[in-house]
Amino acid sequence: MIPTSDYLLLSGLLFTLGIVGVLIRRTAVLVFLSVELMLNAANLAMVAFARAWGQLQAQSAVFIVMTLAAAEVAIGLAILIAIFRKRVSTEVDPLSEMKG
Amino acid sequence: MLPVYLLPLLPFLGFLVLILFGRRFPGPLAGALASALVGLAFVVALIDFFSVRSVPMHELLWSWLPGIGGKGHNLEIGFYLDRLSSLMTLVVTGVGFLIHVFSIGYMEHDPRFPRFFAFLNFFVALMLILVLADSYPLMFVGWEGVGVASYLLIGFWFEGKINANAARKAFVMNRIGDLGFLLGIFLIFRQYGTTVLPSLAKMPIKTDSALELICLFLLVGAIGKSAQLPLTTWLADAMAGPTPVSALIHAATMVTAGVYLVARSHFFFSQAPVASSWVAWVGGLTALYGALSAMNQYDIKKILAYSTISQLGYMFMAVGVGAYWAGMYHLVTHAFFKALLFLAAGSVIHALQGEQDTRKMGGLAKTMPLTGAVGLIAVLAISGIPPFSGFFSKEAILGASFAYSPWLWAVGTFTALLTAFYMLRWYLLVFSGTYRGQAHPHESGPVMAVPLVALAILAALGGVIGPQLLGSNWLENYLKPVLGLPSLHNPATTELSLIAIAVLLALLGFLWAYLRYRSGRLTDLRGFGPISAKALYLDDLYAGSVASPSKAISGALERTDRVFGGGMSATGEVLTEPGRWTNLWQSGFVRVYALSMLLGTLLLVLYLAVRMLGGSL
Amino acid sequence: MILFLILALLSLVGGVLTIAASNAIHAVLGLVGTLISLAMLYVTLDAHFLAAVQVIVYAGAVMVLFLFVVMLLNAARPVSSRDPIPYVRELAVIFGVLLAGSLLLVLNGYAPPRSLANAASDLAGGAPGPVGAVLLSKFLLPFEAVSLLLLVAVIGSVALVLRPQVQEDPAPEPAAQPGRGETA
Repeated sequence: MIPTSDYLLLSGLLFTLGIVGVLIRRTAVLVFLSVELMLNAANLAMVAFARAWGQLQAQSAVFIVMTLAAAEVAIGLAILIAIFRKRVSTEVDPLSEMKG
Repeated sequence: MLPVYLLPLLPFLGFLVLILFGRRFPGPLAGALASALVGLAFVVALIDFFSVRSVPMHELLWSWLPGIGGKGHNLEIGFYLDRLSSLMTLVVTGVGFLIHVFSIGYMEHDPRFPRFFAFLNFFVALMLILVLADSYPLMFVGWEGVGVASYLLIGFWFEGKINANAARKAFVMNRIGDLGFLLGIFLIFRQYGTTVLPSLAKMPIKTDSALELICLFLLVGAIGKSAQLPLTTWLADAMAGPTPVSALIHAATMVTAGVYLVARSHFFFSQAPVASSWVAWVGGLTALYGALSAMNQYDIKKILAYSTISQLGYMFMAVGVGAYWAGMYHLVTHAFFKALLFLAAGSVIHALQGEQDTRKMGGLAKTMPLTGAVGLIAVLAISGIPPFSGFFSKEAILGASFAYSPWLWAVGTFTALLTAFYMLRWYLLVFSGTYRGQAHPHESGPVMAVPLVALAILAALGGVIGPQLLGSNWLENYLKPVLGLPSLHNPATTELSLIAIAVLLALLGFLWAYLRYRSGRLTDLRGFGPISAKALYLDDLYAGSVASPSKAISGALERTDRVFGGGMSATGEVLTEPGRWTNLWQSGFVRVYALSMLLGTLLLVLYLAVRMLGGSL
Repeated sequence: MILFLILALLSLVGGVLTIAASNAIHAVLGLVGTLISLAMLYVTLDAHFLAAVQVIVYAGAVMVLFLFVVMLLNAARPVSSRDPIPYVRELAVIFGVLLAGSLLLVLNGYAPPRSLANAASDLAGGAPGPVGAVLLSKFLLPFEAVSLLLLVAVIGSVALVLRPQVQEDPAPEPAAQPGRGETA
């Protein structure tokens, strides 16, 4: 059987890819996409842990996370559309009115 | 016999009414009210004058500061009316009344007409408090009060910066004198335990150094108020005020308060020979200074201002040499003819729509015959031509000063020559020759003419109260119970020759002025002219010796302040700079915030990694 | 093992594509690839139900939504405007490498609490039945809360995207600022 740490390493790499993507992507949709990648990396780690411990709770939790992600995507994309209507752009950098 | 407190109360009521409800009085009504109240005060003064001849009136009104000088030593508000103060109240209310009436005409177009009369009434009230005070502290109240009135009235047309500055200058220079007066009062209380005038007058006063010091302090106060050397320069600038103010405050009454103070304190000064000689010589030098400064002025009021300084110097000479009655005599006659001169000048200025430069006058005797005539009377009076009032009072002073010191007499007599010169020059520049201006001069209305005539009569005949032709006279005898001193008298032949010399010199001065200015010629005095025009550079001397160092010090302090302020700001800058760096982080860019999240995650995981490495090592 | 490596490689390639593709459609498709690879990895981890949900919900519904929005918003074209914060890119890469390195270091030392064979047998293959039993017993409250959340999300997204039917304010919406709208 493939050791859990291998899954965890893959999860870590995907997570890193996701967070770098959040930072280097300048379109809101793609930033969102990168966030999904991070979520899935975390899910992978969770499922790997479920097998390591032999517990189904973790899998249930992953299910709930997926549902949350779906809800988040629905709301997030709706917000994106609303912003797009106002600004005719989905870039994140112009959205910088909240300066300190 | 009417209560004395009525005297200051009446004008003070006028002040209150006019300052509070001045706008309710349409047209000249405010002036009429103010004049009527001062006139009433004059009536009261007159009635009291006749009733006070035998016994002085001393009214104690209320206790002001009970127990201030220990048990039983109350500071009380009280008025003291004796022959000296009675004479003074007559001058203040009488001349004041005439000037009030004149002002109704002079100020008729002024938008702040009621306020002007409120201030005038205020002045008269405080001047009467000064005159009638039974103690030095109360006298000081009046002293300061007239200073305030003077300040308010010099700066009455406060829109002009020059006027406001002149008012401030008068105020500040008076403060220097007031400090001397205050110190004198403190020392009097310390030495004699009381400051009440009648009580002090009854005390046996011994000649000692403390007394000399008291008298010198009082002299400093008197110098400030009466614009004597060296605190003289404010009076010329005070001419920035309306002309009736110059007549009332800066010629007839307030500036003579210094003379009155010395005469009132005669029981001190008669025992203080050193201080008295200071008084006399300050007066003599100021008389000379004023006359020299007046010689080449062109402002119609400045000439009169310097002449006032000069005449006040005469009065100081008189009270300095011990001839207190002569000082009071000249005070009275001077009040008449100097008020007349100023009102005549005011009439001219009024007719010429505010023109004050004598170079743009001339020939006004034709268009303003009455003003010209009364001006001539005043010039003759001030120059000491018999039988006008100035002659008698000036002879009294010169005679007394000759008996005191021939040198002082020489200064005074030379000043008399100069006086005749510059006064006739004034008259010739204004009234004779041909008119050099553009306005259309006309004689003023009856409101202004009546006071002129009244003052002209007084200036011409006012000398009758004490002609010192050989021997004693009415005024001297009248004041003797108060001042109680043998005055200085010369032998008859000396007296007569002194009179002859003085009159001759005055005529010589007239001749000199006539030859130079007879047909309205405008020639400056050669050599001395510019010096006189700058008033012997006294203002420049003060500017150099006091103002410039003060400015330098304040400039240096300001620079120091800037250094410290800069240091403070720099500290603040240094402290806020790190804040500005963190501010960069709050750039508003979402990705920068996300970067911080990444950084946080990284640090957390790095920590775990380092721990793990540490554990495995 | 080989299967794992292939799937891992596929998911990583998909991830790189997600964050690096200049065309947004490609990025979405890359993520779809990753998600499907992950679903297969779930199968190798005895989570069959989750694998199915992953394919249906994630790779299916959610990614279709993404594609839909990308096309709707015309966001497929790469961003060409000047980057106002260029340093973020470099820092992100540096930090990312550091993070990946430390994560590898940390996760590589993971020691499983029990033998994998025993543990895997307890999972019952992650079949819908056992997973559902856990969800509806131990996780009942979160389960209901999430269902409520989904309802809120549905209503919320409709409310957010809904155009007002009656414009009370006749003023037109602010005009697109030139130079900004064209690059979107």
